[in-house]
Amino acid sequence: MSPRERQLGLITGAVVALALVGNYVAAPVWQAWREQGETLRDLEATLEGERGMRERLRALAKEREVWAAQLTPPPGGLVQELVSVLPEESKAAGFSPESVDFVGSSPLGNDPDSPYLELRFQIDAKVTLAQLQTFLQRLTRIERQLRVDRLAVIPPTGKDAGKPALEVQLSLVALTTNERRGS
Amino acid sequence: MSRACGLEIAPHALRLVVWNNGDGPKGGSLPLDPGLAPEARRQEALAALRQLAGELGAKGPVHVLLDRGVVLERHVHVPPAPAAELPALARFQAQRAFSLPAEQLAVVWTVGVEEPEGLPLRLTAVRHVDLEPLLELVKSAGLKPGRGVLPGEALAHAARGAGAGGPAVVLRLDRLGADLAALDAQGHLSAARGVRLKPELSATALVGTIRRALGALSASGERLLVLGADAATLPALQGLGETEGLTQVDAELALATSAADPRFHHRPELDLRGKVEQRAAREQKMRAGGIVAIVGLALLLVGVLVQRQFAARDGEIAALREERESLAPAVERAKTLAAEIRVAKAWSERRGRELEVLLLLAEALPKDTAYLTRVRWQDEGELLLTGMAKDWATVAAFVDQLERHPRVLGVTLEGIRPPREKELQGVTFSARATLNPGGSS
Repeated sequence: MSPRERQLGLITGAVVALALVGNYVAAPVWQAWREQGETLRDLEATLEGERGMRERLRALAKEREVWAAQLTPPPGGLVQELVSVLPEESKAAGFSPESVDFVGSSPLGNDPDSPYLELRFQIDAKVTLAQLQTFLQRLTRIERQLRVDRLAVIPPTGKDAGKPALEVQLSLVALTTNERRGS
Repeated sequence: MSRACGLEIAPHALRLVVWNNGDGPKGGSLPLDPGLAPEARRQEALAALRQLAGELGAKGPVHVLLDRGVVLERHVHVPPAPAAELPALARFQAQRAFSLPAEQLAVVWTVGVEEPEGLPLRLTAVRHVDLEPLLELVKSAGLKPGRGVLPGEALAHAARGAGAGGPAVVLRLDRLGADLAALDAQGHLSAARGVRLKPELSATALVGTIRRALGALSASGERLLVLGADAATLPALQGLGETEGLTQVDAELALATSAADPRFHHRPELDLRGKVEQRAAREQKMRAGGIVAIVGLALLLVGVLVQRQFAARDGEIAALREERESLAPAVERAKTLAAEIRVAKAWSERRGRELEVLLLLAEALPKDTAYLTRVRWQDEGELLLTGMAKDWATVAAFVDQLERHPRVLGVTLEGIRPPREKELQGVTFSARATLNPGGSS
């Protein structure tokens, strides 16, 4: 073998060896390195968030306790309480409701696993606009989580036609803890 | 055109002969100081060689005469053997005769005519290490190394060139040395010897030294052919026997001229150029081996470092996963609490929206020219309105005002017409407003 042939053989061998090493060693190692790096970065980012969550746990528990105090029904039951509170509030607003009815209850969002329960009430009354406003304002000040879900104001008809009173139908929803959660 | 060169480095002079095929030999000599230290002597010889090479135009391979002191010669008898087995036999005999490993020696051998004791074998050997300085000198002078030349063979060649035949002993006298070559009846070299001569040696002492050398050659009584003897020395040598001066040969350059002569039979075993190539190949192999070793070591190091990095990262990942597992209950609890609080807050923020709706209606309704007869609203639903207005423009103004409110996404006027009761004036209208579920903020 002449020196030139030997040189060409060596160069060819080096190129082939380089290609083989690059393809079967360097590339897989690089790929594994990158994947490992990505896993590490993802884990670090996730853990950073989770460490933050753990640090917030105490504050969250405290806040949840505040909400629980508002949402936990009284010993006699929230329905009983509201059925007695709502007439008092309407009386304070200057009218007496024709009816205050408890319509029913359902888990929030109809999700049986929801930690909350919604209690629905229906109030029918004939009121002036001012009385209605006062009553609604008073509702927002009640400590219990109670809000108006539907409101219908109908003009007086029949023998009441022409009177300044409005026929009002109110649908109220109260939020409380779901003690039958998951059952 | 071939320009072979012959180089002789005597203790007191460096001699170079360049043989141009067309013009024959052309040589020169430069003095050397025999008293110098080895390194200084090498430098002096190198400078002299460069100078002579430049003056003589030396370009071809330089055949170098070996120093008398480095040439080892033994005569042995071996059992008659086929010619094909003689090389191996000679190597074996050389190893025994010189007590050196065969790979350290360059051995030249010649076979004489079979005698009763066996085949006479003349073994001449030179250690490779003794060839190295000559090789280095020639290379350092920028010349191509040729072959090593045994002084005895060069002397015999010079004598034959001068027409001398055997049996005879050729003596070449130099200032600080003498070479003797015994020629057989066919004029072939049968034995050779070199002796060092002290400076300013008397004729009597010279004759004594030569006599001892002839005795060692077992050539006493042979015809003595003398080169380089001056008029005072030659008569003194007459006492050794029949003496003849070879005056037609330049005694000083005789050996270098023989070495440069294209007809001289060079010994392949003493190939200096081969030594160069062998050394280059050895060095190249060592370099390649070194490079391979360094690359291998570097790759190994990189591999180990990469593996350690992988292992370190694996450890880090395992630790993070373990921490994550230990955090999981607390995180799960925190997520549940956060979700419950978020839902409760979102629910609570919907309180009082009915008041916002009534307020926006009060703001949008034109004063004294329109009033509502029916309002129906549902949280996150639509707002249905019916009412009476003075005219169409009032209704349009009401709808326009409603649409401007940020809480309102859009208003559809579903009907507008005069009232059924003929005694009433103005128009009745009904509309449907879509509210922003997120509130006014």
